[in-house]
Amino acid sequence: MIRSLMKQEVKANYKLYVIFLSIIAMYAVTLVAMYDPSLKDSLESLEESMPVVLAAFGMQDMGTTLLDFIITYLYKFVLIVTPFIYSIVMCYRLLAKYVENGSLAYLLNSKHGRTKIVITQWVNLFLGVVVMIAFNTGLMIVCCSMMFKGALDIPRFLLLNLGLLALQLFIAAFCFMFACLFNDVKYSIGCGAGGISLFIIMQMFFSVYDNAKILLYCNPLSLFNPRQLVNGNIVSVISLVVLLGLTAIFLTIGLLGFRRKDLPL
Amino acid sequence: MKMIEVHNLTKDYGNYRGIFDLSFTVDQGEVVGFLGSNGAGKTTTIRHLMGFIHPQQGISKIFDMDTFSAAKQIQSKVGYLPGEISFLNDRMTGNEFIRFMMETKENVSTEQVRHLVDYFELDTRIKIKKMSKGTKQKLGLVVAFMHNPSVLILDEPTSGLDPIMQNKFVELIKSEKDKGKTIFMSSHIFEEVENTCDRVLMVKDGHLIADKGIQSIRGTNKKHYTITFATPELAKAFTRVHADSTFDGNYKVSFLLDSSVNDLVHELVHYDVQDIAVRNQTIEEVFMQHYGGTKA
Repeated sequence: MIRSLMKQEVKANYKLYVIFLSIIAMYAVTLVAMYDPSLKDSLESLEESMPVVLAAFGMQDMGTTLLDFIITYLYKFVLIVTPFIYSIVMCYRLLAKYVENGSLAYLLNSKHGRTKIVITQWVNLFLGVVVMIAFNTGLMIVCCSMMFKGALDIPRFLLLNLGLLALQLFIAAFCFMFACLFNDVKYSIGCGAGGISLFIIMQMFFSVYDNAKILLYCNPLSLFNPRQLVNGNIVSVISLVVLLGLTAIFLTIGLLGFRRKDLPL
Repeated sequence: MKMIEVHNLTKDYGNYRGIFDLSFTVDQGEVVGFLGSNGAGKTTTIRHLMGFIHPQQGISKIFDMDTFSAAKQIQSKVGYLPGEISFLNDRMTGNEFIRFMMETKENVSTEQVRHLVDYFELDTRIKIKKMSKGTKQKLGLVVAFMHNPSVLILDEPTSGLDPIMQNKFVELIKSEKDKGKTIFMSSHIFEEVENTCDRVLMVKDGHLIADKGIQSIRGTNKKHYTITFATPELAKAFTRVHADSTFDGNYKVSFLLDSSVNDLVHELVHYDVQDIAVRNQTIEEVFMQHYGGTKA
């Protein structure tokens, strides 16, 4: 890892971290505050009135506990999309931009090779994802214990966040792989952003239509199944290992591609 | 001792773009100019030397190591100035960028950096995005020279610099040469190369068309004259006396002239002349005139 580059990136991107953490904090705090155990009945009637719209955002089968409530409103959409946008922005800022404007030449004109540069930028990208999810986890635990003492099943909630972390590392690695493989921003950012967006849209679409459930499972995002995961379903736990395995594969492909490719500097 | 070696280097981008079968060497302590017009293949060659791209055929070596596979080992001892100047983050000040590069390159002496900054009169307090092209160029030069590299690869080093700074650059190159540094610089300005280089390589359409010592080229740089006469008859009459001139069929006659300006002025007294236009020959014209036959 290149320490000077690490330091420089944190300095250059801290404002972005603050923005993303604020967005997450806003969602987390508002949502926990909205929880009202007696609301259950009215939510059920809401689900009955517009099942399709709610299903598209993963809000069907809402359940009754605080954990169910949180999963329904945050872990099906908001906490998938927000860190994903962060990953896309960072893939551009950490690598694609330097290839595009040629400034990578300065980094390569040193004793550090391509491998070291790529590894440093992975660490930068991943650290942001880890911090974001750890921040969200901590903040929600604090909020829940302040507002609804004892209502949150903390061990299950931690397992849920571990799952989210695995999914977000997978998404970040998927996007980063394309940033490593291509020189043109159209592809280096477009493929990652487009691919994951497509998976998200597919997931929204196929959650609505019961007869297309099989397609739902052709989607890597379905490897993170929050509701089954908190119930300790062994398949869901194994799915997380698969996500981490895929993460490692994407990173390796990206690194090997970056080491071999022609750079337009 | 050969510091840079290129043998049969080929990179074909299609449409006759790229470089084809390029071979040359640069010895230790030599300053070599790499001349060619835009799109001739200068930057492609430099990309190979920097290990940014693979050759399709042929070899490129620095310190007798392959420039792609051993880039890491080579690059710590090479100073590089990119042709297109853009820095990591425009919101950094010059000073922050210099400090970042000092930490990244390691073993950079603060003394050397301070000397270079003072030498180029670089104001490092301003943010990079507020810098003029010339100031950015100076910043790039400071970074290229900061770690006291034994080989320097400079892509159009004086572009954007004012004449005073261009002279300072020439002086810096001379003093680096005296220290035994090997310098390879691309340019499309003949004068810049003439003032600093021992040898000139000329590339055209991706082919090396000349590899000559600067002494053999110096002094052959003629001026290109175009004279507009009052009538086509006068122009025609002038052409009859000067067989090597070209007549456009109308009023204009063009030819090359070295030093006999006095003779020309005396001769033109007898004609009715409307206009005299004089320009320096382009490098390509200089080379084509002398080495035209060697074009690959």
